[in-house]
Amino acid sequence: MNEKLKQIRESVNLELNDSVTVEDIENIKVKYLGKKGEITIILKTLGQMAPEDRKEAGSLINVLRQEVENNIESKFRILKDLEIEKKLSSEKLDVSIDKTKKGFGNKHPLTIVLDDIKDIFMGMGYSIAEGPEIEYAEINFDALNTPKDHPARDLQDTFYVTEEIILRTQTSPVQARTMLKQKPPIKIIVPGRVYRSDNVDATHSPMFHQVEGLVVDKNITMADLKGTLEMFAKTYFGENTKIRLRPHHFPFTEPSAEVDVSCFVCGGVGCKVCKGEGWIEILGAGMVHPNVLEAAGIDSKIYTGFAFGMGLERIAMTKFDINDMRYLYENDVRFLNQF
Amino acid sequence: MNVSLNWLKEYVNIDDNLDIKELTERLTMSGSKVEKYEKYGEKTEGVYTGLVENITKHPEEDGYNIVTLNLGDKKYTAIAKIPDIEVGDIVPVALPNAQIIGKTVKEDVVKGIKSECMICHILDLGLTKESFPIVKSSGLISFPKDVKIGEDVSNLIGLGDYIIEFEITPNRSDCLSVEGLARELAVTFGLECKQLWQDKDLHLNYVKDIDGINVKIETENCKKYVLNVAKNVKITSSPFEMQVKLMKSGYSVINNIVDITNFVMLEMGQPLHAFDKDILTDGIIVRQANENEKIITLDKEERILTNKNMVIADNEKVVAIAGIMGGLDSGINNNTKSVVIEAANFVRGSIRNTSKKLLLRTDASAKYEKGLAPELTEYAMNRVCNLINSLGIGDISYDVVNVDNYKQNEYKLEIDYEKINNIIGIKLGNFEIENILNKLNLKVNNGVLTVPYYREDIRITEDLAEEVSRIYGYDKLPSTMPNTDATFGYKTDKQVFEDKIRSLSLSSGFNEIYTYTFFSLDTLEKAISKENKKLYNLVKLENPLSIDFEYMRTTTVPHMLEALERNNLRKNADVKLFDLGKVFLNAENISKNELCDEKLHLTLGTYGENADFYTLKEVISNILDNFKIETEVVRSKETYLHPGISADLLANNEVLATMGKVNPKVIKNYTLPEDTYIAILYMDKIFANKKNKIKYKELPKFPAVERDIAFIISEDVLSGDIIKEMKNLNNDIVENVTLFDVYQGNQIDQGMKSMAYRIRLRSNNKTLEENEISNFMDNLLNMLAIKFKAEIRK
Repeated sequence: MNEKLKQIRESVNLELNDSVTVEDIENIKVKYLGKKGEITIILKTLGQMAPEDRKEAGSLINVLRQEVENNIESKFRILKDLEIEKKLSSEKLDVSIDKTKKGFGNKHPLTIVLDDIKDIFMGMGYSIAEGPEIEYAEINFDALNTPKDHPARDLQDTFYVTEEIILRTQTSPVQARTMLKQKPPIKIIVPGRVYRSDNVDATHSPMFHQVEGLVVDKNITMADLKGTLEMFAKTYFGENTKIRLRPHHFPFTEPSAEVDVSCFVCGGVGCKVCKGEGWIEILGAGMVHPNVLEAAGIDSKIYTGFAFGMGLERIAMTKFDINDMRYLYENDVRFLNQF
Repeated sequence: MNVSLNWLKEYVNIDDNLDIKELTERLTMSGSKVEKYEKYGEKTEGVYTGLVENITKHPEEDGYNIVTLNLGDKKYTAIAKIPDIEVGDIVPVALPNAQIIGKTVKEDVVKGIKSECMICHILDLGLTKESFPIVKSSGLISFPKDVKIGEDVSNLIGLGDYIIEFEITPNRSDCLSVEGLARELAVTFGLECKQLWQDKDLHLNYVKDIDGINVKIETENCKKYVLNVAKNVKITSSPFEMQVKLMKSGYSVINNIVDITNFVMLEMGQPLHAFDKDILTDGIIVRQANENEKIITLDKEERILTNKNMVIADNEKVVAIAGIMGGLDSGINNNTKSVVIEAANFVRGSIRNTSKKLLLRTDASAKYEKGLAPELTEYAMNRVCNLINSLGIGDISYDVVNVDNYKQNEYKLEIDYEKINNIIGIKLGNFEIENILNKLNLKVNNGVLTVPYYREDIRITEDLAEEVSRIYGYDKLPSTMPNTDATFGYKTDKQVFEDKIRSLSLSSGFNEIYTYTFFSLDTLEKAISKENKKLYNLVKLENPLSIDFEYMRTTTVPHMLEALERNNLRKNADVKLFDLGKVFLNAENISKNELCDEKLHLTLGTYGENADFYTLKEVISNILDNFKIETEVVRSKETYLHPGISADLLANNEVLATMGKVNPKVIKNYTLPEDTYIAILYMDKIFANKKNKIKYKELPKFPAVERDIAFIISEDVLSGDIIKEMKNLNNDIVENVTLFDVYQGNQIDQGMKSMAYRIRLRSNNKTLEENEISNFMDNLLNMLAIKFKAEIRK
């Protein structure tokens, strides 16, 4: 018996030594430990032994089986690792090859700009209001302190559908609509398409996009407007951005301002983008005119507010250095794919 | 508005060393926006006016003259080649060592004759024929006779002056004048603004008529009419000093009377009109024109008027279009003996409308359009009389016609100091506020402010807040954040939905485009058949830019096809585009003075590799799946789509999306591949049908079995219908049906197709037994045979 076991031990070790593939090991495993394997068969003979011999023989066989199992397992691991190494060193792809692209589409630059602006103002507690593009002249103009003989109401600037219905010239009518149905505090931004009777050229388009902001509550000040726009400019154009308010006039705000941001390309020194000025005009703003508040049913003795507006095209063109507005509406994929 | 800095400096003692850049920036920051500034000429040294006393030909050098010049103290000889120089001319003469544009003038010898000095060309002074039009054709300046000889030319013309271009906002018509801008300049630098003349000097009496001229105002569009007559006028050139100011402001120099009216308009902002008294048959009537009334204006154009246009007329004829331009016949000429001078005030809207209608915009109309203070008329008339008088041009009348058609009242405003501070967000003391207001000539007395007549823009406390804040300095304002109750920054469900739709389109590989929302009838007809009445119900613009922009779009199809076409023409391969934009429907609302319906459409368009019906359908199905919308597919009836290769996706009997291959009849109108596909998703319908509540369903506990079947069926049968019927057969156990093969070809009869489906069966409450499965399959085959005449393949 002992002899038999010794013989098995030796031949297993010999065969393991000679084995070079994972398959060899599998075969050894079957040959000795499988259903009809040599060790399994010896174990089955135990039943025929005398009970007094059985115990000792059983323990010897089990020791052997444990030993064989361990040896097979460790050799298996060695060979398996070798096999992986071999695979790793032999498998190689030309990773520079692109298969046909079925990638994502690109957001239009105007959407990119608008989404960023929305995010900034939503973070400051503004919600987003929208309104019709074909609008009553009364809401587009009268409600915004722009009476009938005001130059802005000229036939030259406004597209008329009828005398009373026009294509909105600004997103401001949505301010009026919002104030009519909502009580202060109001904090909204209003993005949207607007229309002015300008011929198509590098810097004009009869249809373009604006975003306006409106805040109405008690104790809103011009300093709040400045702080808000500064916060926006720093978030959007970069931490070092400065803003500059210049006095201006709009019928719907008093006081009014035009707002410049320090050039985000040159930092204010003067360059091609800012035309040497160091500043880029991007906004019109001011304190909401009491006539506008009153027209929307808000008591101007109790509430004040500020409003600001900017043109998306202008911001997109400056930000991405696009020198002709027409590219934004040509929709050439070679242009669109750049964003 | 262009203004000479030197002119402004007559009013305000600005430091000559102040840099022009700083000066203009400070003006901009206090509210007088400087668009740009340009240097006017170059300063010279040693250039004086000299009288040409004698001209003789140079004996040896052809074309050259020996010119004798009298400079007052001494005579000089110049050798010059100036063909149009004449005895009596007063010309700029550079003496030896004179400095002109960076060079030093030296004595010269021309063919043996010494030239002791140089006669300057206009360019030597840094001027051009445009900036200094009173010049001979050779470029020689011949000064008017009132210029003294021996004068320093640099000082005389004011060389090296700056012409500043201001953008005046429409609320500040008072700044359309040198005086107004001088006031702003003074307050910006905290300096005094000098009063250069006193209108009390003249002691004019205001009367109703003079010299048989009475004035009748018969229209509401004229607020005030002031008129005077100057007799025995000598029409000649105006003084050189005035001419320089006119030229620097971009005005032509004409004659003394016309120049005075232009000068005073520049100085005070009040348009004035002068006309020949002798052509007037009687008094003046300010009235609306009669229909088709005609006038030939000063620019020699015949103008046909309507009753929307206001005119100045006598009893017989129109002599001027009020506030815009005078008639040719009534113009001042060298034979004019008596002059009528008008200073009037007109309603701004009336002037603007006429100016726009006649396409005739003048300096006068541009000022009137902004709205001027009526009081300005008297002030300006005084100044005109003062100038005619002091220059000895003619005999003015000390009685002046002054007819009012408005209620004059001084405007007073109680100052709300606290509110001013509250609007701005600063804390100025009452004294500081009053101090700023006083500098602006807004006189405060016991907390009550008197607004000068020329500041009609100041009526309420907010206006004062603007004045105080701009003079205090916008740049000095603190930056604070609104101290409101907490507000919630959010997007509405609809906005979130739109963002989601956009992301899904992008992640399907489509590029976002922006298209115009107007189009032309031609554009529409190219894509959409006229049978589609709904899309031909258009909102039309009254004043489109051109016929290309005449209507608001009712469909996005034409623009999508054009965008695809543009890319195709530019040889861009494999194009996928989407447009999320509005269309404008139910135009008939407009006639009821209601707004039309604005609907948002998502439009997808594609051509090139991978552009096929099923790929596009997958994109749309994925989008709808995302909102848990189950749709039914039917063939589309849209005429712009291929009838056999197009579908409508329905939910609750509403079309949510339409898609398919573009009809070849439409494609032929464009340069586009035949395999061009388009889809429209109706955003409002999708939004209405999307499932907002998601409820988790427990995962199945029992195993599923799968069975494959294949059959031949008519090609007219839609797979969607087959799947629907299969599911309906036993909703409890049919978990899923997928089509995995469709075949049409040689082995199949024409008009038929072979379809192969995998059916997954599962029960929620037990493991299905073999006999249940085979029973179901038998029923299924039966149903297919009966309903669809399917021929089962074994």
